[in-house]
Amino acid sequence: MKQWVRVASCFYPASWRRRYAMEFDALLDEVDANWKDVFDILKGALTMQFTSWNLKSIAVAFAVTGAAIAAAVAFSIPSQYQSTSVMQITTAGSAQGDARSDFTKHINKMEQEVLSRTSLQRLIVGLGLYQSQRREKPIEDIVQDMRNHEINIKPIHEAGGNRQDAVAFSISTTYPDAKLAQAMNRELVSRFTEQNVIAARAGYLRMGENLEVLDPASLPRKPFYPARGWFAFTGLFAGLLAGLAVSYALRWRITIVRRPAH
Amino acid sequence: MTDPTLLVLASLADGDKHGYAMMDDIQRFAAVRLGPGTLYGAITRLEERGWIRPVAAEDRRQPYTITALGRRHLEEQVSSLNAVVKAAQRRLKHA
Repeated sequence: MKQWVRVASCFYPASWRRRYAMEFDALLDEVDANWKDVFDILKGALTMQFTSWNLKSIAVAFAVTGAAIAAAVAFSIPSQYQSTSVMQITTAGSAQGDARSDFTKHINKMEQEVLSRTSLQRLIVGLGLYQSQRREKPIEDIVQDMRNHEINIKPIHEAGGNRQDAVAFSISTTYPDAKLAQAMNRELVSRFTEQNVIAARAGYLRMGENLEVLDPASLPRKPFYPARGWFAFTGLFAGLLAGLAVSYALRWRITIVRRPAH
Repeated sequence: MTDPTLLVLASLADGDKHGYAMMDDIQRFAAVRLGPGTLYGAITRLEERGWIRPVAAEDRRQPYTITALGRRHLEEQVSSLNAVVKAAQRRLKHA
């Protein structure tokens, strides 16, 4: 037990040890120490460390610790990569009536087919996605999660452009593997094209709608989530705030303690 | 009363003592065992405030003595505690 007591006493600040180490060691030689004493010494050492630091050091230490914790959390979260493509639907001839509204309806109908359970199930199996999740939960749940979180289809409103004969939309796919995120996106693009051909063959397209790929599925270079720099910055900022709060609390406590009694 | 600084002042009120002697004395008169870290935390604070000071040592053990300022502080604390004790006793009698 004596050696643990000695180890614990090493945590006192150097300035404190210069003044009290000899007599403190003499006391430790006499005391029949137990584990409670080891913790008592550690607590005393930490208190002395805090009171011997200046307020700036405390704030900086908290900020660095906060940033380190946030960075560790960020690195423990698996990276997510996002691939994006852009498609545009245009009329083969001249636009008649409210063409944009017709286009939007047509896109929505294609989207329903592309994101249907059967279609996404085929995509998952075909690309071998979500291997571990598929062992844990039914594929219906995975399809639902994919629809809600991993696939995002939204119209693009070009600044200043309000063409009546064209509507563009983007498709984003997110996955922990960059190449698979791109492959998912490519599959969705080809399914939209497929659906457009089916609609054209069935004679549903009043204006001979053309669907073209403006930007093919991108290969993401950097993870989309988590934004590790942002995590670290948030941790740094939160740590700095906590450090300042502790510094001011300590300064207030020290002021009260050192105020002359008379 | 478990405030370590008051316990140390009370221990030194009847003569100079080193750390281990204070621990032993406090355990006898207050039935409180101060750990080494707590005891030296109190000694550090009391010395900073000028309520105790070290005196000549014969060996590695450093004895301390209570200063006039420390004695006055202890007297104030004791009279304040006495007032609390008396008030509590009165109230217990009337309850």
